[in-house]
Amino acid sequence: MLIIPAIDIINGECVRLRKGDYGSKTVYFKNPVKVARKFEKDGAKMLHIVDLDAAKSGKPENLKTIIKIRKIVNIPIEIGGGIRSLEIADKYIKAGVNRLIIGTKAIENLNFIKDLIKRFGAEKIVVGLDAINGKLATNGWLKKSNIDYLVFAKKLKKIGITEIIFTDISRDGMLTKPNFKAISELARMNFNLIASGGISDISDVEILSGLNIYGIIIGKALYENKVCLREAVDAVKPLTNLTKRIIPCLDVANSRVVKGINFKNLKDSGDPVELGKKYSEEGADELVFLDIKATKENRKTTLDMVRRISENVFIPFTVGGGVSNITDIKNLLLSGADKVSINTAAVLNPALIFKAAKKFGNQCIVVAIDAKKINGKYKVFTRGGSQKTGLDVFEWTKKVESLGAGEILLTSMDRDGTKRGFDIELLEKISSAVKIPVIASGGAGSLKDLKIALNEGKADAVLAASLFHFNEISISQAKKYLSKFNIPMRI
Amino acid sequence: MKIGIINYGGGNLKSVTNALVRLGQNFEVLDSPSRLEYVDKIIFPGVGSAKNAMNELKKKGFVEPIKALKKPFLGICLGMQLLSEFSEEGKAKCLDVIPGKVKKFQSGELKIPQIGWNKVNVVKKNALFDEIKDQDYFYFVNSYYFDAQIKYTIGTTDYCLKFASAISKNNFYAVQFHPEKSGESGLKLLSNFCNKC
Repeated sequence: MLIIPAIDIINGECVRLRKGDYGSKTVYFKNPVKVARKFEKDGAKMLHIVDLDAAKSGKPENLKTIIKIRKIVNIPIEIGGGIRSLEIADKYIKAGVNRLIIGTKAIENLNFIKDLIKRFGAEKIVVGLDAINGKLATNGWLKKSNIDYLVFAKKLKKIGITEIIFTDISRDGMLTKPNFKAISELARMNFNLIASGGISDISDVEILSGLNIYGIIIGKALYENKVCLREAVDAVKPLTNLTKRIIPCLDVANSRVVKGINFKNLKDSGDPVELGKKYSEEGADELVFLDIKATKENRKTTLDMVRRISENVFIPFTVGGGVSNITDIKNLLLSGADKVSINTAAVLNPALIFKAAKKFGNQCIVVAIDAKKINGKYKVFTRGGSQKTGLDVFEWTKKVESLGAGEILLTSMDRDGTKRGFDIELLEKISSAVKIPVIASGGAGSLKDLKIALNEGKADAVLAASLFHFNEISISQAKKYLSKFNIPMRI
Repeated sequence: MKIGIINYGGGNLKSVTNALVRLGQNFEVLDSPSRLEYVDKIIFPGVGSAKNAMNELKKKGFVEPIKALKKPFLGICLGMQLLSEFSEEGKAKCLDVIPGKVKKFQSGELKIPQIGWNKVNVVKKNALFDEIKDQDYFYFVNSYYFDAQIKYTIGTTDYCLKFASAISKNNFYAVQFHPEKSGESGLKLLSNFCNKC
């Protein structure tokens, strides 16, 4: 979710009004350009700029200031106020403005919006709905209409508008409370919805964040230091319902699922086909199959086994072990794998990651990294943990990301099979360093371990073997437990 | 009734065929466009990159026959994106069956690709979602999304923004997620396509 600071301009100065009343103007800063730069520095991801002079007069009055802001900040800016002709819209777009906010004119003439969409694309057009007691207001909020905002929103939806800003005028600049009811009503209509007006403290931001909207415009509360911008940026959750994933892992040797401690002393844990089917039906989010002896024994992953597991598994299925070239990957995909995990071959031949990602798509390529702490530094190991490489885990992770890996399967060799919990230090460092998802592996011994890996370790998914194979904890138990701590789970 | 699964060489067909076997559907893997006339409905799964996939489709002569299809057609993941006019991924000109372009997610806060289970808000009644509850979870793996028009959108999903995760136009249906990998809900959607679309 975006926190979008507002910059309202009158006469080249940064001002705030109360309830849109020009008579109530307070000048906060002489130079809006400096304000814009400060907001960007404090973590804003977009700026909301309104030319209040233009809102009244219908022509750009502060274009120079806006151009200056556009030149000085790197984040997108949206401009509102007085955009009532294609010529004016053109001027702003040419000046590099990312989105145009149309208010009054949209209400007067819906065809104008259609023309704008045709000319600039729907992604550049935002409609501002300014409401008072459920009815829309126009002309810098000086005029009130009889149009219900929900009825009008439906019309906008029909013509292809995807983004709207909802402002409750009776609350704007009043540091009261946002109109949560109206906002959730609009959010249900499937707009990228930006809420504006009435934010008085960080708790308002938190509530709005829970409504799963696209952004929040904050004005007066920032200028009056009621809300700290950095704090607000940190308080909001990203817009998504994506869940964290629970992934049981089948380590297979000689056609049996096995599990060792620190990659040694393997113990039989069952039939891979049976276990795979069981996990798929029990609500596992994904399944990983690793042929752990393939590389060591210089042979290919058992395709037949992959085929038989995949026939009973209707969740994503990642296969690894012994993958050394493009043909191997292709064969695995054809046998029913959805993703392929590369470990040793990636270290020996990093270009394989690039080539495979290009051919099969990044999302298909998981790079497995086995890490072991040596003299305080995490080092990469290959060949089922038996070969030291000297590579630094942190640098190797960054490299595989740049080569196009879609996901990292990070195993702590020190913790693997020990049930002492994940190596959170390693996990947090790697999760924060890359933009691709990280699967935590090695050491899961309890429900609490899973929670810590997802929260403190910032992992996107947790992988566990022993924990699930020996029926200590079921998948659904794990999910119920984690969702109690507000970790999003598919239940 | 027979379902045809388009095979252009890069995709993971096994997951889709596994699902159809589970549903008891008769199907055929189509290696050439000449086989399109022998099936009743078509599934177009996609894994890989847009540019690569389009090149393969061209090589095999699938492009024009797909565009001309009047039979029910279901694009999955990349198979949905390829129905667009154009994809930013590799700057690929696509099949141009449903208006709109494919764009990359822009995010400072969320990881890209989106990998995992996300909710689908059903925004328009469609046989594809019969007996599937609103806001059910489906499995997604994508860095790009189809910026589709509202009139063709039947489901949306939140990731950085609200994007169209299920669309339909005439006989063409498409979903960004992988129904063949989305557990029971996904199997239901595939069964809906086979029996109700």
